[in-house]
Amino acid sequence: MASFGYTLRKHWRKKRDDIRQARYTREHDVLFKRKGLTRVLFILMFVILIIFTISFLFPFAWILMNAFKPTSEFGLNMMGWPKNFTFDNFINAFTFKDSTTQNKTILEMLMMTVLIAGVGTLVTVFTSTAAAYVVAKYKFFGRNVIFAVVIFSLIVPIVGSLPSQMQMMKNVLHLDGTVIGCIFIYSGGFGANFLLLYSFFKNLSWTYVEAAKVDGANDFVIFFRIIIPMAKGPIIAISIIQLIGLWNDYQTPAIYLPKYPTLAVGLQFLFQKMEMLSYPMMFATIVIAILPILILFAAFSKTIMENTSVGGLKG
Amino acid sequence: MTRIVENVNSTNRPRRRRRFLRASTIFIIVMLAYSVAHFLLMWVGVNFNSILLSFKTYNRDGSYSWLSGERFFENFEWIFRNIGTDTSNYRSMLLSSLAFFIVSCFVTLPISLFFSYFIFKKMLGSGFFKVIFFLPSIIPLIILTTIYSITVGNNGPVGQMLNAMGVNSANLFLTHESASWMIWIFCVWAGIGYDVILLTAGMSRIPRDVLESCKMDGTPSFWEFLRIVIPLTWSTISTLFIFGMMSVFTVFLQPFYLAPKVNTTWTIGTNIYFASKSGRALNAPAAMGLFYSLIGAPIIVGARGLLNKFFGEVSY
Repeated sequence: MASFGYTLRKHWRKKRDDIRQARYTREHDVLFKRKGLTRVLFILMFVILIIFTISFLFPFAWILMNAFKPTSEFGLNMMGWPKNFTFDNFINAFTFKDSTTQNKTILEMLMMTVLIAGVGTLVTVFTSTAAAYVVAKYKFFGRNVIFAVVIFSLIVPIVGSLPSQMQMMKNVLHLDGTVIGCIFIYSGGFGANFLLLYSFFKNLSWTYVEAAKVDGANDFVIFFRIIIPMAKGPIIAISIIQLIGLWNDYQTPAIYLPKYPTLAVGLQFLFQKMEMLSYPMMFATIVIAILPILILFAAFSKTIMENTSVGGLKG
Repeated sequence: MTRIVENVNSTNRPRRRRRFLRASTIFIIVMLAYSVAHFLLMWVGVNFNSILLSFKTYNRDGSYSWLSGERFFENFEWIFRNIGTDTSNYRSMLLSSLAFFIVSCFVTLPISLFFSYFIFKKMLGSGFFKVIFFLPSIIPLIILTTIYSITVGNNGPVGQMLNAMGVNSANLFLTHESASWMIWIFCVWAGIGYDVILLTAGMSRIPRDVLESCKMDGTPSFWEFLRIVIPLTWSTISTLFIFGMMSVFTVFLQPFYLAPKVNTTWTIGTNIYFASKSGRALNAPAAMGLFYSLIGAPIIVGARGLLNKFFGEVSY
């Protein structure tokens, strides 16, 4: 097994090569050679985008810097580098609790988020994969109806079905206020994920499956041993995108799980309290909350970006 | 011997085929059962119940009973009554919601289109800019809005700059007009990224040959953008336009997070959400949802059809 250092070095080497390749393309590709006014326009645009980037990164940098200042220093030195560098805000952020968040610490909220987003992702990706594979590859009565209804449900905007959903969850399914209820809402197999996987399976060669059938494999064996490994790429991409989406979801946990707040729900209440107590502690909380997502994004940025764009438009 | 085996096989074939078909049917049912049941319950059932709920009234004991006779459309009459009343927040809710259509379709989308073209043309740092544009999509909205309001607010660096320029940053999120502007600016600032990612992906599918022939013909960048890039990415642009139209109904958290004290900035979505959150008298928000679905769905589907007519379907 390759060591972590080796993997990291390999990753950076690949990154460096990509950058070199991009630079070479920019400098030598006839398509991207610019002269005169066009060149000026591109320089102007570069400056505008740099300003936009600063507008985006500066608040985060400012918050990160102030998260290491004692509360007493923040009021006197908002813009400067911390004079008394401290980790107390992070320690306090981890242990802070309040009645508005059912006395849950940020760590407990983090655990709840991991549970709901993790299990929700696993279930919904599995149901989407199973449904998309069957609809794309098997001919059966009602197949076209299923596909048409799914497309219809994605295209036609339904406004405010929340009241009815709440009534259903409370009075019919009795899943209101439970983790299972939350996961159940996420677990539908027909959504944007379905469409992305459907188009993947539609283009997938049937040769391996036929070979497996000749060897006597049944449909379940084919699905789990042949199809899922072949669809590993899109499944991983969808899983990451889904995980980020569920991690950030506010509405479902806020409505159905108020007693066990997730990060997206609890942070709102925590911020309201911390704003009155200590800004640096609030900033430390922000850093803690976005760190897992940023790490995930850094590790899978290419996969996420490529597949979000595809997934976002196939519908 | 071989013939015997062949005969045995041929007599077994229909039975084997039947068994095989039965196994496949079981497989299809098992794989689809959960998704179909979930869809029937959570989409068909929920929307059907929404229609029923909008013709019911809420009783004090927590139950619902059917409206009848003259009161049958009571929940819908309530919506029209509020539209006609100056004192209610209903008009400002409608205007606030419609403003998101303007912001998304006529501000965010054109800016994103412009940015995307330059990123697509591999300007210096295009890869880095793409990552930056992607960040708002992965950071929780509550964090984005908090960072924005702190930075622009009285204690933040931008707020202090504004104070120095004579603008009272402490009140930015407290009055209807300034709060609305702050929410719209936030939506553009945070929304550009998502549009740029989708548009650059759409543009990256344009065949190289087309761009090369443009270059050989000496087509200026502006004409290339207008006559080649826009028509060839029209499906993406029209999809984003539709998303922008849908934001009239879907945006609900931004006004609440940024201006919780100014409820005149709240949208249709925010109002339905808070009317539902209590869990009581769900008939009114259900009627409101149904009413706007009936208005919104044909408009959006019609707009989609209209947008698709602008440029012919291009496959490449």
